Amino acid sequence: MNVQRLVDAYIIGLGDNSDNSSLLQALTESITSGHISLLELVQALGSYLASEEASRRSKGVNVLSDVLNNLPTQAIPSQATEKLIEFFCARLADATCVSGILTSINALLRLPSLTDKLTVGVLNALFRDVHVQSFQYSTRSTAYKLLEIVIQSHPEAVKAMGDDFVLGFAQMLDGEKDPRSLIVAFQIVPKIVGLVDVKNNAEDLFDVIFCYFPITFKHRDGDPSAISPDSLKTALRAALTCTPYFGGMSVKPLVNKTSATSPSVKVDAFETLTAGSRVYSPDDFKPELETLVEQIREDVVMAASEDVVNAALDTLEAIYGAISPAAPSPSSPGNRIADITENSSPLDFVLKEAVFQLTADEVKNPEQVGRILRAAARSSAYNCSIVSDAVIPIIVERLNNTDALTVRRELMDVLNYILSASCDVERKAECLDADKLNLLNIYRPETAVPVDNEHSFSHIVRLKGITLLILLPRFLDGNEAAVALQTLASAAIEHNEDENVNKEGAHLLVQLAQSKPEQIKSIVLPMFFGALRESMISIHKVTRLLNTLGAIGVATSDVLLTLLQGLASLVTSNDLASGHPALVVSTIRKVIEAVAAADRSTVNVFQELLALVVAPVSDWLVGMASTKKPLSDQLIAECAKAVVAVFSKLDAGIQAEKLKPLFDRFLPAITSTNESDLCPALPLFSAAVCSCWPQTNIPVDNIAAFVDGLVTASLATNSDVHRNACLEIVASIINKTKSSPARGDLVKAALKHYELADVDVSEPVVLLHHWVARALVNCNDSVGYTCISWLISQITQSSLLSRSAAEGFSIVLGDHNWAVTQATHGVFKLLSKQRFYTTVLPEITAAFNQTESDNVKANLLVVLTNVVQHTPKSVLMNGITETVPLLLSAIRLTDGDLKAASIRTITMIILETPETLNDDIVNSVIPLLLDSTVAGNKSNTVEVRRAAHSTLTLIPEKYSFSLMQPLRKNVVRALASARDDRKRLVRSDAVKAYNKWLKFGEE
Amino acid sequence: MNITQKINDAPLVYEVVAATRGIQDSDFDDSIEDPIDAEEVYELIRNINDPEHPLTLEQLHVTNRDHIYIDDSANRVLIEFTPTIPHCSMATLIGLCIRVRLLRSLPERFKIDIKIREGTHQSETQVNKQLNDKERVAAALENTYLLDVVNQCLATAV
Repeated sequence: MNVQRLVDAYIIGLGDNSDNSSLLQALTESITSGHISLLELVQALGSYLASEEASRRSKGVNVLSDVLNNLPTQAIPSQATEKLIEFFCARLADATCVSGILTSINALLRLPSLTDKLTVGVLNALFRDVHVQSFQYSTRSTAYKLLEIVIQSHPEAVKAMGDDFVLGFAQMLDGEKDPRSLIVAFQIVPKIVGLVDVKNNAEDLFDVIFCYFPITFKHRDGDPSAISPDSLKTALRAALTCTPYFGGMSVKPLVNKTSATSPSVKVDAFETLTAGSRVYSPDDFKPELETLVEQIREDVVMAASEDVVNAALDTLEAIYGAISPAAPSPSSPGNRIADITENSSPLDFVLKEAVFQLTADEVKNPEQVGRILRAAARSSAYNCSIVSDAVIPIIVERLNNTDALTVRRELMDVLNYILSASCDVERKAECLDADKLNLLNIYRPETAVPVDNEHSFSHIVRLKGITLLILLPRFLDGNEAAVALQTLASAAIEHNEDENVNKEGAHLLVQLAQSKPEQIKSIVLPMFFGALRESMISIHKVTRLLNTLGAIGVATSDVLLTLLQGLASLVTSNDLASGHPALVVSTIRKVIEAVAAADRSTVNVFQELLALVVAPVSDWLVGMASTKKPLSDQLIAECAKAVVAVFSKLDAGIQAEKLKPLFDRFLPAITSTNESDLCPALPLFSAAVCSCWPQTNIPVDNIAAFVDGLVTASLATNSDVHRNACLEIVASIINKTKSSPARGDLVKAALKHYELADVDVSEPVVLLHHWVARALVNCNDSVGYTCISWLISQITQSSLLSRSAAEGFSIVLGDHNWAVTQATHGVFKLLSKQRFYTTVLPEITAAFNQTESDNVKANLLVVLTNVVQHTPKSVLMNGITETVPLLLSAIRLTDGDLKAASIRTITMIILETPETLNDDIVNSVIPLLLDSTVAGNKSNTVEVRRAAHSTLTLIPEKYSFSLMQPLRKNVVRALASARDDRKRLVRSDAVKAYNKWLKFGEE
Repeated sequence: MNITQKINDAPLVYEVVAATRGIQDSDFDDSIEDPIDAEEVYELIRNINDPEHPLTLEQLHVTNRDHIYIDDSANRVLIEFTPTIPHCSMATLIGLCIRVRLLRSLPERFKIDIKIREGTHQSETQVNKQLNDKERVAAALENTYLLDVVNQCLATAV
């Protein structure tokens, strides 16, 4: 192969900017396979590399760099590496070739054969011969890349160069303006500091970097570089705070920058100081401390932006933490904090001003003073002691001598901040013990206080203080803590004029539940249970108490079981006023559901919950039912939902085990054709059976016979509860049977009574079909559609059962609490809703078009509305055009909820695909909507009128003025009179619609 | 009218109190009639924007729930508003905005009176006269520039 020809062609290609990839591939393949050597390539390039003409030289170098970059490392022999490096170093002074040479060197630096000596040579040549800033961005970027590669693969070379490397880098960076290069350069600085002691050149390096502070950069849309202002800031901050040598130079200018007017610059300066406090020497901060503290105080008091305040307080905490991290040791006078004496502690800058404020007649900015003191105290346990010792006695003394409520509240506020710092550093100051009695007195709630805002504010502050006292390590003894908790609990329980006091008490108890679960269990819970047992308790208070208990239960798993057990025994003790057991059981259910959703509990927890909480409540309910005591439907439903929440989380094996006793107890009752005493409690049994996994063994000998028995009972019984329980179980079992023949047999067993014609078509038979359809449609079984067709035929025959057949479609498609749902492991196949929609909708449309009877039409529209209501929007929009005429008829023919639902479907169509209605909107939709806004018409309920108004509001947004113009006058007139509707909600919607139409076309 | 130079540069901004009336079951019962009350009228005007600042009349305490007097059966409503400063030249414009908002929202049977709250403006009488003169209001609303300003103030009210 002729190398020279290839090279010449390549050079010509470079000149024409044409695609050279095939030539490049040919060259690299020849070298890799050994057909030509690198030496031959260089010889072929000789005339170019040695040319007098700069552009020819540059092209030669470019060919070489392209080839080197594409060659695998093993294809470059080690002796060639040395020669090439020497050649390139010598050529670095040739400005036209620098870009190509740097790329070639980067390729060679990857080679393992490259020695550190050669690398030093490259670096020296780079720093000496190349004035990086005089080149364009791509070349500069290659130069920085070179440094990065060297630092990564030849750290010894960098160490050997030492100061020269640092100086070289500083010169190279000096004057850089492109953020893409800057971010790389800033990232290099900490790496250099890691390898070389920068002590001698710290100033040079610092100057070159610090001139960019504070860095601002706007990311433009469409900018391909992934540099964000934040990443640039962070990189600069990391560079500025990478070595303690920068401390002496950076603290002063940074402190000056904190007085800048721009909040972002302030935040940046504060955050850089915070980062510096971890690296710089504490001595660097001391001279500037007073100015800095003054500035921080100003920023916190001005509170221009919460970001600035937080950054300032973080800086204060970090710097005090760095200056005096621990108590001075008397044995080591050379210690860096040895100069802290009684008279000059760095904390004085904070304390003097705070003490001045706290002793003034009126405490100004108590919150800000408190926050500053807290930040200073939180910096270390030692600082916390100093702050507490200096401030707490002053506050305590003043509180003892002051009666002014506002001042007391403000002082307590400050005290709370300091105590919270003590809790954070987990160390209690000495002075606290001395003032213990005073503190307890301060926070003791006032008795018989008049009701006004100020009092409830100070009550809330006091409650916060009490919480902090409880949280302080080793401060309160057992009895005192108990009294404190009782105070909090009574604040949460007792009736307060200001509900915020209750809320705060409850909130604090929830917080304490995490750190003091035992005390909460032994002290707080009994108080709550006692309050719930009171006979004259209002429903509002019961709800409030139960909400608090629920929050405590969800907050910590340690209290959970005791709490729920307590609630369960409250229910079973019969001590609660009527109506309240349902609320308590509802709370139990919600807590269990929250725990299950948090996913931190194991099956064991649910077993315990079943045994200790749900089972006793269920047993109590069954006992009540068997003694024929009245039970509210809500109570039974809540308890059944609690059974579902626990039972559905158990393993299949445990479920089977727990089902046995349930079957022993309930089987005779549920399969009996007469109404038994246990009938009201049957939903509990249904909930348990429906919550089982598909693989759970149902403890009966023959499932088909069991299903048969349930169906017989459901058809014979007069009780709706009994019938529903039977049919729910039948549907659940059919749905969860995996094998299709077995499922077919079960369906046969279920429907045979009807098919054998031993029963007339009655309401229970229709209901049976609804439930079987629900079970089968969701698992995509085609037999389900036979049931659906049967139901539609019932509707079209216009029998007495047409209405219930139509309304029952909500059972087929709607949500249920436990039967055939995803939460109870029901089988839901993909696309089952789509299949239902595409299969059933044409059937409804066809039946609608064929029938003459208004009654049948109305019933078909009930089905349609149910289908539309329960079908996902994405599915619904396919083929919606055929449905539009039906929906419009639905608005004409139906009333109440169904009419409102039809109007809402129209709204949805207008929102999603307005063009579908282009033909109907003017002639049909708007006149129908206007008719629906008339209050006098009985079919136009409040919901219908509201829905019509919201649809009318939407129309001007979605359709052109030219289309609507002929109607506008009429619509505006109709809406003007709708503003005088008798119902407030309708009026408000009418006003919105009226204004929209009034302005329509004006823009 | 030059509204680039602000009459009141730094008005006091008050916290907004959330609407007290939630939705109740009786709201859906057609047999119970809900008369139009002060609360409902306040809901209509509380979110009107001030012509000078991007703040609502409620935030500036220009309008107040307690300064609305309504008699639904007699078809009368009286709104009293409080300019932020006694020499506020925007008072007429604010009054006009309130009037237009109510004309566009209340049933046509109502007679609407808009007044400056007594003792809160130096040219109270003139402004009140201007605001309640049908013809002057109609003339003002024919001025397209003024109508634009009013519409801008009302943009947030819907």
